[in-house]
Amino acid sequence: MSPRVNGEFFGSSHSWNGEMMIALVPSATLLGTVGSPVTVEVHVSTGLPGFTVVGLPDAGVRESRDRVRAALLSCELPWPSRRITVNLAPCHVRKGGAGLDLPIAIGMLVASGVLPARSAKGLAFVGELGLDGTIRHVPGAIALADAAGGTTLVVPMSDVEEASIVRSGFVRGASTLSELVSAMKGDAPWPRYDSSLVHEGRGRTQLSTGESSRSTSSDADPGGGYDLADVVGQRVGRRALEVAAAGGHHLLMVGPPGSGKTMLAQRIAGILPKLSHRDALEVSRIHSAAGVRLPRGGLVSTPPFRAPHHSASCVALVGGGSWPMRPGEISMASHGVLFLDEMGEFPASVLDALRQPLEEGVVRVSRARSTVEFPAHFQLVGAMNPCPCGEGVTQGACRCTRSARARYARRLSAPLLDRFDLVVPLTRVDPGELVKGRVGESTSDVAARVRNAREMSVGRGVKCNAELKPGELEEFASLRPVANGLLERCLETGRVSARGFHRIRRVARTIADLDSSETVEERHVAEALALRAARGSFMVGELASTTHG
Amino acid sequence: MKASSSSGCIREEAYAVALASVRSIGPKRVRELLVGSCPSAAWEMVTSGQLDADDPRCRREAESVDVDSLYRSYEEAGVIASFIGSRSYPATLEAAKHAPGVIFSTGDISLLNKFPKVAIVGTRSATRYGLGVASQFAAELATAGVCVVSGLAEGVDTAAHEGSCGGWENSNRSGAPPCAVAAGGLDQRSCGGDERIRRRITRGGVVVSGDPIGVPAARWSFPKRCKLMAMLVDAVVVVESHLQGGSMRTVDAAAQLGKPVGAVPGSIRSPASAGTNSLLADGCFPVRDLSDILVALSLDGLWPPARPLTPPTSPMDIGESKDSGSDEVLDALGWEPCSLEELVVHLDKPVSVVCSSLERLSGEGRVRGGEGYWERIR
Repeated sequence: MSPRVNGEFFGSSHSWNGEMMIALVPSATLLGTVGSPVTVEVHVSTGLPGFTVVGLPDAGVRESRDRVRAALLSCELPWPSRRITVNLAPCHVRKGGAGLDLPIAIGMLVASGVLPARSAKGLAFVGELGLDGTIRHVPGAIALADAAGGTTLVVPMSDVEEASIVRSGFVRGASTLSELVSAMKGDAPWPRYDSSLVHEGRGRTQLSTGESSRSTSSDADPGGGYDLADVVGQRVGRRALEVAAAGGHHLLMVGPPGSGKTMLAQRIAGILPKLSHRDALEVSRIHSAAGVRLPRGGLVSTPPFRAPHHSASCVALVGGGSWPMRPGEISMASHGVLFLDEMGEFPASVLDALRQPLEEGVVRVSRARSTVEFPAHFQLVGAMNPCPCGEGVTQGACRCTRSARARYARRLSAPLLDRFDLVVPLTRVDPGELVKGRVGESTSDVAARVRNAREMSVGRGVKCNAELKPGELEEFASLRPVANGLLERCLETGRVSARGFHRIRRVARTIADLDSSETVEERHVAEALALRAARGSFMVGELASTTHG
Repeated sequence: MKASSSSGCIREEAYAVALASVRSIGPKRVRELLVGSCPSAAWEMVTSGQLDADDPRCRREAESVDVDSLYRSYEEAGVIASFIGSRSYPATLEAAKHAPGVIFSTGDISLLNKFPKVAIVGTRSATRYGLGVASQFAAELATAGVCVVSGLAEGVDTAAHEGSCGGWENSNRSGAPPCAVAAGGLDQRSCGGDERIRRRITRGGVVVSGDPIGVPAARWSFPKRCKLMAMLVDAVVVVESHLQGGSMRTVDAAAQLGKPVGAVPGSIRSPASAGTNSLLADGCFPVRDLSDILVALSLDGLWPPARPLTPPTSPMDIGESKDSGSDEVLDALGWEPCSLEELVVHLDKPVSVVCSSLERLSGEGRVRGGEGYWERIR
């Protein structure tokens, strides 16, 4: 006899006498940071007892058999000792992760008649099952909720907030399988979402995943506990940081060990303005897809700050990896800051992989099977030593050979170096200043100025001045004649390249914004020039010997 | 053996080259041989086995040397060999007990006997101050007719060579031509130094080396070069040196030979001046200007008194600057290179104000920099 399938999207065909049952359960899987709808078809029939999953499952999905079985038995639900075939349609899309456990379990229950078909009507499911029947967090709840279409999505209780960001009112949560089954049967009301319970439990999970969006602790203290007031001295470094934050400019700090490069960089997150709703949604989507815990309320509202170690591989930075492709650090830092400490220690190939995303704002990771596009609108902040011994920016202190210094400088390719709008040499803080302990401006003061400057750029129709196109520069960053003369002189003497010309003008515009000046004056250009110092060569001696030539 | 050249002098030179390239005969032995006899006779002694009492390898090795083709390779490379006793051999080396018996040169070696010579040495990782001082003294010495000798390394050496080349060229070649002492054979690429500066020196001056051609510059070539330089010159001036810098080898060698050693005082905070300052404490004569060096060479009476050096001119001489901000920045800058950070801290003014003053001063040609460091030039 032929199986009978209900005409609905969700359906089941019961024929206990005819020994043939099919259930169709809508669900979704992740493709990069985007959800893709999946229909889980469960077929229970006579034959040798067994369980097969077909439809391009990866190892994680294939293992779901044991999890689903144990979960069902733990919840005192029957496991039919029949031939069970699970098909994940469409079968040309690879499916990964444990999020399909729950739809498979529901499909089994419907196909074996434990749940009436109508109880699951209009519902889609996503969730990982524990052996005791608990329903666990899955990464990418936002993207999965997007893909769930017109149905109501049932997600793990801990993911209700995330999924509600995009499908508010069409999300239901459940924390155990038995709770879900009784709610579906109508024996008990649907469990209510209680954020305090979820966030309490989250502390535990957070430890196990080891990662959480920086902003979990953030709304009250956006700097993550770092305040600019802690930085003594470093007037030029602080100023460069402020300009970088105000204009979204890429910043490279070059200095000896202990000059406070890392300390400064960590404090940039605190002075960046909050994310707009659109950016916040995109950041939350990426972080959710990467399996990073989102802050209370679901939406990541402060710019992310990512600081991968220099042992990071190219894939870790750019994204990719085994299925499902994971967004890399540059995407995780989207709309925020990617901080590369000890940039000279990163492999050159890894650094050069940043060049294209830096220009385009997206990264397309292509594999034989598919291509995934990740957003990558990040601001790059780098820190490195000037030479292997680290003392190069202090006059006469470096004992490295010229070839060693040249080799070290080459670790940053010229095209990458050219993409930095601000390059500042830092020196160790003068001990006198350190002892005097004059406290610098605090994060909140600087953040207020940065916010004002950003508002001025928003008035020009861009998020920050780094996004101004050359045509827009003519319109918004017209130079005073004196300022223009200064810049032209620099072009003539070769101090500024043609490409650097526009970068200087953007930075000068930002400096003028911080000064609340409508026009770009000479002093703004002069500062922009000074903050783009040491182009290509950080070595004092080297520079001097070329000027003496 | 075929005679490649009719001139007997050149034949002698060929044997001198052959002697120097037999590795089992040390430089000391070569000198002893050449002091006693002419190169051809010395070579005869080696090949006939008269030296074999000490070392039987000498003869075996010497027999494998083809004097003619060896000498031809020197002619092709444009390298001249001068042996002790020959006219081109520098007189200062003849007096030194441990000087190599044969030295090699490109350019005009005879000028070493015509001019007084001063070595300007210093660290490779020099500050702007050191580089500026080295090139200034070198230019002034070259103009005054004192041959400046340095070691072709980067940093102070290069600055000194550039200064002396500039002084020689700017004085319409009436001063003293530049001189360099290279480590390793003269056909080898100079180690670390700039190939262009070597060519520039060869055009008007001379590059000498104690090593035969084909010998690469190795770690041990540098101490040898330092000693040769000390023997060659009449006085040594250390511009900038770290406490354990390589320039100290030249200083030690010169001190042993009893030649005057001067040091340029530097900031007590600058690690690149730690060596020179300690030399001053040890009793080296301080070098503040050209006349200090000329006094050490006992030449101060022969030359017209040295021009006062370009800096310490007061701002009054140049005329008032347009705005008070620039003057303040100029004062804060002083005569030592200064980082932007130091200036901002010192003046306690916003970065943009200091930067614009600096740019304006640099437009006026009064300061130089922009790569993190700024220095006053007038």
